[in-house]
Amino acid sequence: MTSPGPWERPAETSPPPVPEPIFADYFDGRRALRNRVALSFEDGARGRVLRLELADGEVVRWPSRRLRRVADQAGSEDRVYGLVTGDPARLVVSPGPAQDLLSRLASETDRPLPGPPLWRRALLVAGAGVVSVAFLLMVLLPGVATVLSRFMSPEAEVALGELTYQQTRVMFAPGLTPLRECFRPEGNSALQQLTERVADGVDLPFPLQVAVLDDSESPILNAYAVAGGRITFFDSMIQAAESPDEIAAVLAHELGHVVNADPVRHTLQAVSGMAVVSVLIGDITGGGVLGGTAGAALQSSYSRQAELEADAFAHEQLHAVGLPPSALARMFERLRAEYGDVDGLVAHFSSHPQLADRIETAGRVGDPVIGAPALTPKDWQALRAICR
Amino acid sequence: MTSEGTSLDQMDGRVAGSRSQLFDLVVKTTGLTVLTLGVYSFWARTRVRRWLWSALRVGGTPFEYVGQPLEKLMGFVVAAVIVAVYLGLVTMVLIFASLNIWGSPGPGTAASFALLLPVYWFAQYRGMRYLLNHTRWRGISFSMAPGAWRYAGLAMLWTTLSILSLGLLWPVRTQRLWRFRAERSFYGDDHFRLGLRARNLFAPFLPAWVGAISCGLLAYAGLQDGGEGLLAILAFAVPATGIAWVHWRVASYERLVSSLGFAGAVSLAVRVRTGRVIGIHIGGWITVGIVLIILSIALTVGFGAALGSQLERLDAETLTSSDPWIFLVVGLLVYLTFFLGRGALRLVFVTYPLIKHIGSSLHLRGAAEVNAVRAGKTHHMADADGFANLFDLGSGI
Repeated sequence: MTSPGPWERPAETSPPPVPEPIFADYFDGRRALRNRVALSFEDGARGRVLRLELADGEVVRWPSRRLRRVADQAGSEDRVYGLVTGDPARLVVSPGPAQDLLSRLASETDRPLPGPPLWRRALLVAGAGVVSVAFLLMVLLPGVATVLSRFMSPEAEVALGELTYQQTRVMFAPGLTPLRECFRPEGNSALQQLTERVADGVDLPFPLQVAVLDDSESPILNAYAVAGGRITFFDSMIQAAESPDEIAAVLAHELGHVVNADPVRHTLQAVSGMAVVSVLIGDITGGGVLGGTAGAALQSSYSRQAELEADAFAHEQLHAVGLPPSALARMFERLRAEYGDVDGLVAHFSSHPQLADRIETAGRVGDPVIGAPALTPKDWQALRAICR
Repeated sequence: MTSEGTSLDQMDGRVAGSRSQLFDLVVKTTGLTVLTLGVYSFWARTRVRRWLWSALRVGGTPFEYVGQPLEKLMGFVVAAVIVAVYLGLVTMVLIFASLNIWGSPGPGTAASFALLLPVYWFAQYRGMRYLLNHTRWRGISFSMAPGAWRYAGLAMLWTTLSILSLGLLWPVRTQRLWRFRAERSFYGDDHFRLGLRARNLFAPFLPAWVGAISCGLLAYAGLQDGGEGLLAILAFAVPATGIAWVHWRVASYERLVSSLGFAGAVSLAVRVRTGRVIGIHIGGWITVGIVLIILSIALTVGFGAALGSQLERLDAETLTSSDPWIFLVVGLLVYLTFFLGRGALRLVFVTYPLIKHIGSSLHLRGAAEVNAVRAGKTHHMADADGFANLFDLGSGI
C-alpha cells in the first residue's frame, strides 16, 4: 500500500507534485475486488489523464475528457466516477484531498455520466407505438365492433341497452342519484302515440322503449339512443320544442341510430377503447380518473358518418309517415339563435355534430305532403307536462 | 457483534442520504413530470432509483442503478401496444360473448380480469429481472435469467393449490416463488441460493391463517343470526388478523432473505421488526397527508391571490368567453400535482424509511468470497420494465 512506486519518477511540472499519496477505491468491472489505488495526474498529448496505480504496480489511465461523475447519488460524502465509454469500471472517491484532486483535474469531470445514445431508436419506437395505438383505436376496434354488432342476439342487445341506460341516468345526473324517469299516464300515452307514428313500418327485433328524463335541475337539451331500442329525451328538449313535429323529427333521427345499430357498435367500441386508454394514461400519470375522462371523450360522439346516415334515415322515414323533416331545421335554427353554436370543449364532449352543418342539410330537403300533425294539441300538452 | 478476528469476513449494510435530500430530488422530478404532462416520468423514475440504489451501501460500497430513461420509454411503448391490443380485443370479444351467453357483461369482465392475472405475474418477473439486470455493485452487474412465462405458470399452479387448501399452502407458494427467483438471480458469475424449507414458514403464517379463518366463520355466523356479540368480537378480530398478516409478511421476508446465499459461501441476514414496519407506514402516511394538505392550502391561497388582483375585471362574461382549454390544462396540472405528489411523498416518507430500516440491518457473512466474484454473462434486456410499469408493480420505486 505504501510502496513509493510511481513517486520515484521525476515530478511533472505543470501540476505541482503531490506530497502524500492520495487513495481511492477502484473497481475494474471484471472482478468484484476492491482495489485501493493511488491517484495522480499527468498531461499527455490528448489532454490531462488520471493515473490509477494499483497495489501491484499496474497503472490504469483514465483520460479526463472521458471522465464523468455518476449523478443523483445519495449522501454527500463519497463521489462515484465512471467513463463515458460505457465501461463498467468505477472509482469511488472519499471527501478530502482525493475529491479535490478530481475537481482540479478538468471542469467536465463534474458533469453527469451520460447513458448510451438511444434518441434515434427511442423516437422511432415511440412513433411506431403512437401509430399502432391510433390504428387500434380508430380502425381495428371500430372494425371488430361493427362485425360483432351484426352477430349480437336481440336479447343480449336489450340487456346491454338496459345496463347502458341505467348508467347514463347516473352519468347525466348532477349529483349521485340517477335522473328521474318521468311518468304520467296521459303524457306516456302521448309519447307512445308519437313513437308509433314515427316508427311506423320500421321492423326491429325488439320493442322500442322511449322515455323522458327529468333534467330540470341542470338542463342538458339532448336526446340519445342506447342499444336495444332505448331512446331517451331530456325534458328540457321537449320544453325547447315549439311543436310536436320537432320532437318527432328528433325521435326519427335517434331511430335512425337504432336501425343502423350505432349504439351497440358504439358501446362495444367504447368499453374496449376506454379499457385501453385508462391503462395507457394511468401508467404515465399514475391516475385512472384521467384515463376515464379521456375514454369518455373518445366515446362521446358517433362518427360524423353515422350522424349523417341517421339524418338521412330521419328524412326518409318522416317523408314516409307524412311528417315535415324541416321541423328539425327549424328547431336547430332556433336553438342556435337562443344558445349559440357550441364551440371548443363543450362541442367536443357533447354528442352531436355542430348545429350549423345539420341545419344546412335539413333545410335543403323539401317537405312532403303533410298528413295529420304528429300529436293533437291536447296530447302535445300532455307530453309537455310529463315531468311536472 | 463482530469479533475482531473475523471482521474481514463480514460486511454490514448502511443506508446513506436523508429524507430531506430525497425530498428535494423528488420535488424537482415530480415538478418536471407535471410540467411535461407525464413525459418526464421516465427520467424521474430513473433518477430516483439511481438515488435510492446509491443510498444502500454494503461494506461501504454503494449500489448503482444503470437503467436508462429512454430504455424505459421504449419499454413502455412496446408494452403499451401489446397490452392495448390484448385489452382492447379481448375485452370486446369477452363482453360480446358474455352478453350473448348470459345476457350480462359481468362474466366477460371477470374473465378479462382473470386472463390478466398470468400477464401480471409475467410482468412481475420481468420487472424484477429488469431491475436486477440494471443493478451493479463493486462494478459487477447482477442479472436474472429469463423465465417469466414459467414463473407465471408456477404462480398460477401454487395460487390454485393455495385456494384449494383454504390458504394453508400459502407459505409453500411463497417459498417456491422465492426459490424460483433466487436460483435465476446472479451476482456476476454465480447465482443465488435459497436455503429455507417451506415448513420453516408455517410458524409465522399460522396466526394470520387462524385469524383469517375465524374472521370468516365469525362473519358468516354473525350474518346468519345477526348476533351483535359476534360482530363485536369481529371488530376486535379483524385488526388483530391484519397485524398477524403484517407480521407474517415481515417474518417471512426476514427468514427468506436471511437464508439467501451467493458467491460460494456468502450468506445474508436481515432483521426486520413488525412493530417498526407498522409504525413507519402509519407515521409515513400521516406525514404524506399533512404535506398534501399544506400543499393544497398553499395552492388555494396562491391561486386566490393571483385571481384577486383581477377580480374586478372578472365576471361571467370573461369567464365563459375565455378558452376552455385553459381550464382543462389548469385542472390537469392540479390533478397531476396531487396524484404524482402522493406517490412521490410516499417514496420519501414510507419507502425510504423502510429501505433504511431493512438495509441498515443487512449483514453479510463469508464476505471475503465476494472478492472472488467475476463479471458473468449479462442477460441483456433493453426493453425495460414496461409491463411491470403498466401494472404498477413495485409501485413508486
